[in-house]
Amino acid sequence: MLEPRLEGQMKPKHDNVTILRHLVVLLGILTISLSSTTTMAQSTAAAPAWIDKAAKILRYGEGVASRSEMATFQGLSESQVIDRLMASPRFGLMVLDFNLYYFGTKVDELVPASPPSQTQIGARTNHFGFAAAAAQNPGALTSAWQTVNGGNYFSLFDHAFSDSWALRQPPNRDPSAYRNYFLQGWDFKFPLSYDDQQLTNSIVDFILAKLTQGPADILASNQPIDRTCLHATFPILAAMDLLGLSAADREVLKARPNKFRMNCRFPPEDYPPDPFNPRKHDHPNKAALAQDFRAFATYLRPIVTAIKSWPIKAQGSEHDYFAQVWRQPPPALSALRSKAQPFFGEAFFRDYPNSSTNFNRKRGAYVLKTFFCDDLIPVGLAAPAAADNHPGNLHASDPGCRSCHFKLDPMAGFFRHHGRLGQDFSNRDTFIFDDGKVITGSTLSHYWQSWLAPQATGRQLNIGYINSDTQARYNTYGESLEDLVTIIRTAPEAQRCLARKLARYIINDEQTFDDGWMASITATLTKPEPTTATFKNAIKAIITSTAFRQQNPNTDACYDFDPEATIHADRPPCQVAEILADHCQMCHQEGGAASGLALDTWQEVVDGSFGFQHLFTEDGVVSQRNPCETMSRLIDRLSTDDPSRRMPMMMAMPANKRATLFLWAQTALKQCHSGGQ
Amino acid sequence: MQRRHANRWRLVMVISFMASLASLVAASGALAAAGRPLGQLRGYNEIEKALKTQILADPQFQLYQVFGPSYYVVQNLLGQFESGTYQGGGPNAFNMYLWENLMLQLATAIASHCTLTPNLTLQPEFQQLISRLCQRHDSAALNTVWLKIVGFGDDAAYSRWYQALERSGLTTISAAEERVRLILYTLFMNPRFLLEP
Repeated sequence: MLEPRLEGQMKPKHDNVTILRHLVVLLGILTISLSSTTTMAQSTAAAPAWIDKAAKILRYGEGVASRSEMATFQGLSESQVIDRLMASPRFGLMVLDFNLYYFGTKVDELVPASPPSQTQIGARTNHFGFAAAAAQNPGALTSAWQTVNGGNYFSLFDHAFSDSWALRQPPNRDPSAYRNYFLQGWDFKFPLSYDDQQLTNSIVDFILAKLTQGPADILASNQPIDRTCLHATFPILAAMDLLGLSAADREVLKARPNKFRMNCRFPPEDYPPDPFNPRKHDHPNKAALAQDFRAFATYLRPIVTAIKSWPIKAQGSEHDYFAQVWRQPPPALSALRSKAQPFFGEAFFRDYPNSSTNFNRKRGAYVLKTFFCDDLIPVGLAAPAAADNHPGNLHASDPGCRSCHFKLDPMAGFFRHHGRLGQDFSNRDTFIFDDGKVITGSTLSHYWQSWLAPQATGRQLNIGYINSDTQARYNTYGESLEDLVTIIRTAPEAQRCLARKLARYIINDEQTFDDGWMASITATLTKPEPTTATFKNAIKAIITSTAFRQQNPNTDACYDFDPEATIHADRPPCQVAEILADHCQMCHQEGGAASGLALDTWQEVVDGSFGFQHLFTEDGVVSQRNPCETMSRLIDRLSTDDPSRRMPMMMAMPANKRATLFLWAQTALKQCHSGGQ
Repeated sequence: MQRRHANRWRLVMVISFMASLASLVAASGALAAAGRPLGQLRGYNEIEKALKTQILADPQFQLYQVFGPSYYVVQNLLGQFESGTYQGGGPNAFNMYLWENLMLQLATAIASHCTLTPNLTLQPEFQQLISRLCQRHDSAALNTVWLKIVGFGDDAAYSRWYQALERSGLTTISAAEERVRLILYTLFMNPRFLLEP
């Protein structure tokens, strides 16, 4: 056999990088050996450092309290330690904290220590018993609540959206409709708020009092509304509808100062106007209005009474307090918890507006990033056919731009009906964007056509989660937000993203994970059915991982591997090993590799530098290519838009995997050129 | 006497500061659990939460109370989540200065238990530990204080801290409140407590 020789010259070096690589490989092998002894590890006493670290994660910052508690834990197996920590009420806080991390809205402190100060109110933080980000995300709250109360963690997705006020047109004046209309916004804000005094003085009392008085008194009232201004938003909006005020009326009222604005310290433009000021409204049918008010009050009063009777004031230790929070939902509201709550709700539509230029792409990008861990890395695509061009030949048809838009635009389509503040404009002849632009007629038609599928596809719409730009069978299409939530629940990529975020939350935010290990965590999380038990099992698997035990982990190294896999010392780097195995090694395998490139190898190719075996023959001599050139070719073949050269040939590679491989090769090439390869 | 203590305090302050920076260098680049970067400051709310969980009895306690409301204003300079991402946690001369001021005030408030004019309500077990430290230098009590505040599992860090304490002479200060104050201050400024491990 001919010895490969180096094409070109490279400076010899045996540096720390090389040594580190050897160590990582050895560590991988060692880990596999250790993983086979998991049962043994679980039956032995846990180490104090691991126990303390596990406690701080699972009890939301609360470490081991004393030597005696540590001694108790040390008498248990690791599995038992985790079970005991998960039994703490503070585990619910950890779940809630993770849920917010998952949604990209993590906050410092979930539970304010005391009622918000004016400074905090001014800064729009800590409005509720839970921080605002949590209070506005009932899906995250419900999921945490369910997890500690024997329900299903995955109710996280039951509350994706609903006919909440943000997503539907205002209800008619049937008072029964207001019951849900009110409470969908309130459900989690009041029961989980713990300052009873704040509630007593809240706007709820004011509204109730006014509603029971009847319209004449209401319209005559000039009492200022103060305190808890944000809590007032929902009742005020509902009351405005009840009073028959239109959106146009609100605009008029916004321009005028009133007491409500003066007593709240939010920017004036955010205030709902005061519907109780007699100078600003004169209802044409006061008798009907009075009837409405009384019926509405009948619905509202027992619910508010239930809220107030709930034992929410902290008693005893903080631990006891949380036990109360999680364990004692108000009975009158418990039935309502099963109702859908939005995470595509008011906060979402406010934070990700639909402007007249982005056509919901901000919303689409959020969904891809949050639920599919897709940061929209632009990797070149096959050139689109002319018929497949973006309507209007916008820049999204350009191959470079299309590398993101091919998946971003179909995702944005799920939100196409929702304009200003998330309002539903389907079946309307006008559409209002968040930037205030109103479109109608042909401009509106053009907007809707943005999501028409090319005729050859046989589909009406090009809306969905897109994995491949060329092969539709790898994509999941839909039309509505209901379809999107189903995709988020069931798509393997979304489940894997949830598992990855859970591992990152627990271990660290930039840790590299072996794809095979991540697949095993995903399977643990979701099989046979996603339940709280599988969620807890996944947490257990992550907390007992080697990576979690590291004091100062190398974020580029993989510490854990698929327990079923055989890990060879010359395996390619863990970031891409599984991708290469799934999509490349069928043709590029040592001992018959296409074009001499063996993507199942990772070896010292020259002078301490590592790379794939990449052989070529010249004048009868077989030589190893320069690893920099190998990487350069790899990048080209991954991103070219020429179908005859694009890899993998005649096969689909999911866009996110292509992006991962592409980014890794780019980094490797950069290191190679700088002498680090 | 006062001047000698002040000099020791400055020495310890410098040691703590250097130790923090050294720890940062060692841990740079890696990121920690729950989204906070490794090697960065744990942040205002996380420290406040740790204090309330481990040593303070008042669930309403807010860290800025020990220094004054003005500290709340600079909360975002001390490390906190903003729009879902962690910001302001990268240590620099300014935020380390702020933390030193804050932690010294906190240590002072806790040490006031030595003179029976307490400014903070402590958890009973921790208050007993402080009482023991007020009476005399008590290495066993000191170790328990470390475990309560910093946590378990890093005996080497504890040894380094304890040896530094002895070398600096802080443990021999006769004025009880001053001794406890400075010892607690060095503990609060220890990178194992103040920074993400």
